[in-house]
Order: sequence, then structure tokens, then C-alpha cells
Amino acid sequence: MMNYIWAIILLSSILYAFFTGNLAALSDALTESSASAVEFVFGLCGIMAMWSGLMEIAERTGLINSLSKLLLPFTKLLFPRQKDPETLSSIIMSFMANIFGAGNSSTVFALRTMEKLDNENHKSSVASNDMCTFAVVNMAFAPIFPVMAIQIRTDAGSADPYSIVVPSIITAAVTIAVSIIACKYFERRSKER
Amino acid sequence: MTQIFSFLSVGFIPIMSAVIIFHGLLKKAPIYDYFIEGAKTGLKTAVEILPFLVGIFLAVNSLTASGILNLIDTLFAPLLDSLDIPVQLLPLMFLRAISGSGSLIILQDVLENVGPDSYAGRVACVMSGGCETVIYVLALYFGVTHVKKMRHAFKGGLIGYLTGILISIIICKFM
Repeated sequence: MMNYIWAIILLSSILYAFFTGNLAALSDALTESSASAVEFVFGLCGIMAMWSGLMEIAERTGLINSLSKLLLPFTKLLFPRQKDPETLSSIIMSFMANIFGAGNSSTVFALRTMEKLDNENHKSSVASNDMCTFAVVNMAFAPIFPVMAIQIRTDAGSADPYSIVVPSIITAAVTIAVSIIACKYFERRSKER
Repeated sequence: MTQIFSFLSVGFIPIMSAVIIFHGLLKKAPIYDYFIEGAKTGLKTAVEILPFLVGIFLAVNSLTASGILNLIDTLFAPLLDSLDIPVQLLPLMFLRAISGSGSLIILQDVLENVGPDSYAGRVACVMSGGCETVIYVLALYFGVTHVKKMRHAFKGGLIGYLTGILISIIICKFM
């Protein structure tokens, strides 16, 4: 999948730039983007180390275990066969970090969750149901409270910057619901095949 | 309500840290040693995702720099016009799927052009908040795994993305 998406994006951009005389700009973008990817990871390194360190404490002292037990009814709906308390709590932490807009922190939790799910999947090359559900639902969870958009509205001189809060929450809720339904539907269909 | 949320947004990291450390102290665990051990694995993950990020940054930046997004906009403009959807939203719809930070710059642009309190302006805000950057997230998430076949993750993500766009367009008509 990724092979095709990646190839199509890059090749069509290069072709289009060639015919519109944008090649110089594209050439700059290609070299600069590799550098900016490294810069991005540098920024992520610190926060990644911090959260992983804190979560290691929480795991070994049993805090995570109790937290995931508390939220079990909710996660059971989405991940009926998931038993491991560490994975479950990692999932919950990703969702919560997303809801509160903790930016890069939510990325860290999501990556931790994917690693755990990968181990449970025996490092197989085919994604498990839980992986797909988690990735899709976590994406939908992303920005329930639109902090950035409110800031940009205020800067643009809006009379009521907070007027988008309720529509945003409703949009997010519907998106989450549809994402869950879509995942469960695809799961069932792939089982029948 | 909004005050509670902004407090939680600001307080999420410090409060979580305090709870974890306090709980660790109560259990009399060697929390500093645990922290260092966890930090090591965290750094390893950060290095592991770097190749995937280079790949994604290449694709996203070549799309924006080549100007191909403008072509897509011109192609889809008549369709949007016939559906009574503000054409100014187009660049946001496409860029949001591939780049989060890029779409925030576009959001600023849109609000300057149409005004933050107009219908198009409000849809733009809800849309940019309510959709996630599908391609980037999938490449990153599956980058730390051994998965080559994502199965329905891409389809599901896309469905969620389109739902977000659709609902934001509809809901701003009423609210």
C-alpha cells in the first residue's frame, strides 16, 4: 500500500514540477525535507525519553495495572480480545493525551502502543485487528478540543473564537463513532473471506 | 467548560508526572533507575522512526513545492461549487490529509480571506481541528512495527477523515 502511495506522490510531483518549471523549488524541497525530518526527530527524542521513563515507573509500580482495570469496560468494547494490562493502559494513555491535546506526547504513547501490539502479533508482516482499530480510532480521537484553531481565530480577529468548540466536539464524536463502526465492519468482512 | 479544558491541556503533563512519581514513592520503588531504563527504550524508538519520517517528509514537501496542490484545487473547484461548498476550503481538505503543520498555515490564510466568523471560516476551523493527517500517522505508527500489509487501516482512516470533512461542512450550517 505505502509503496504505491509514496511512488504516486513523488512521481506526480516531479512530473508536474518539470512541466510547470517548478523544478528548482522542488529540488530545494527534497533536500531540505530530509534535513527537517532529522530535526523533527531531535525534538521528539527528549519528550520520548521523558515519557518512556515516566511510564516505566508507572508500569513497574503497578499504577498502570490499576488504571487499565478502571477503564476496562470501555476498552473491552473496542478491543474485546486484548488482555494485557500494559497494552490496554498504553491505548488509554494515547486517547487521553489526544483529548487533552498534549501534542507530541500522544505520538509517543501511540508508538508505544503499536510496538506492544506488534509484539503480540508476533512481529508478523500483516497487521492485526487491534492494530488497525487502534490506529484508525486514535486518528479520529486526535483533536477534540481545537486549541490551535481557537488561537488562530483569536489572531484573525474573530468576535467569538469559541463558537467552533461545540461543532468541533460533535464532529469529533461522529468521526470516532464512524471510525469504530468502519473498523468493526472491515474486521468482520475479512473474517468471512 | 472551556476553562476546565484549557487547564487540563496545560496541566496534563505535570499532573501525570506528579501522580506517577508520588505513586512510585509510596511503593518505595527505585523510581530513578526505572526512569533511566525507560528513557533508553524511548530514545531507541525515536531513532527507529527516523527513516520513515524522512520518507514522509519527502513526499509531503514535494507535493507542496511542486505546486501540484494548485492543480488539484482547480480540478475540484467546479464540483464544490455545484455542491454549494465554499471553494476556499479545498486546499485545506487536501493538505490536511498529508500535513498537520502545513494545514495550520493554510487555515490562517483562509481566515484572512473569508473572515473568521463567516460560514467558510468556521467550517475551516472545525475541519482543521476535526481531521487527522492520515498518511503521516499511518506511516509513523506502522513504522515502528514489522507490518507490511496494513489491511483496513488505510481505508478506515480515510473513511474517518472524509466523515470529519463532511460533518464539519454540515454542522456549521446549523450552528
